[in-house]
Amino acid sequence: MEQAVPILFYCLAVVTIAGGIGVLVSRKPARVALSLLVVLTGVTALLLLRSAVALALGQIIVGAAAVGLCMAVGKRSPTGVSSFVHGFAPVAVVVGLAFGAIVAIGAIFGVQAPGQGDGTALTTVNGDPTGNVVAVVRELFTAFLLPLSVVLLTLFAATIGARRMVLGPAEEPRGEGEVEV
Amino acid sequence: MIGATHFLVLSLILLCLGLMGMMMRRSFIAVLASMQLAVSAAVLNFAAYGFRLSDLQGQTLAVVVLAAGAVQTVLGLGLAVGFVRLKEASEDDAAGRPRS
Repeated sequence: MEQAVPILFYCLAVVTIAGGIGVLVSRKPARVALSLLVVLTGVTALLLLRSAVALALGQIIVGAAAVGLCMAVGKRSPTGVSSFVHGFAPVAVVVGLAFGAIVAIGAIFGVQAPGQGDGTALTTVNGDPTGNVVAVVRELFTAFLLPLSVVLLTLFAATIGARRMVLGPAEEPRGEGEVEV
Repeated sequence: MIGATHFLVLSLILLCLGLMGMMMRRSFIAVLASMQLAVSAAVLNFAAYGFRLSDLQGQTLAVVVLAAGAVQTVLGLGLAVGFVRLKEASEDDAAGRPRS
């Protein structure tokens, strides 16, 4: 297994860089999004290679959310953006299912994933060793609570703003007796 | 043996690709994807330094960076669609068509 890690690293690095080049040279938006997915998957696998399970899960969730947003925006928009969805849905469904499976497996096994003593080191709760996910989440909600709150509030505001931009201004209610011209 | 240096080199390559994409491409989606590439490079960088310093805070900070990347994606896509709507409305006005 130890000998396989460098080979895996180089294979994943090549795939990730190829995806990055794909983002750079692809002309169609769907291909750009797929290349980005390749990059995100490669980075996730690289992080899993170092037992950074929590970070890998975060990367998967953000990647899936980004692709889902692309799909949602493409579907809601009455404009040319909808062409983005054309021919992309089946691939997105397959990739989404794969991502979901990875998230489920990571959530089930990642909580007890052992660290390697190199930043994924185990910390203990009440004397019991915990996995990488628990350790990172605990750090996130103690030492990093303020930055996390600021970023999540910004994300909330950005989501509301983006929804307003996508759907357009809300129609004002018309008073009674008011005639449409 | 794969060390933090390998991750840092890969992160540098990803960052360069992202910067090149931001400067060379005109498509909004491509620029957004290039920015996401740069965010992934930052995540790898934080994780690599976390491994090297044997500190969990590198990974924790990387999670915060990921959330910031999500903000960027949401805002970028919203702006893109808003811009396309605005452009379409102005084209309709110019052509004298009623707005849908």
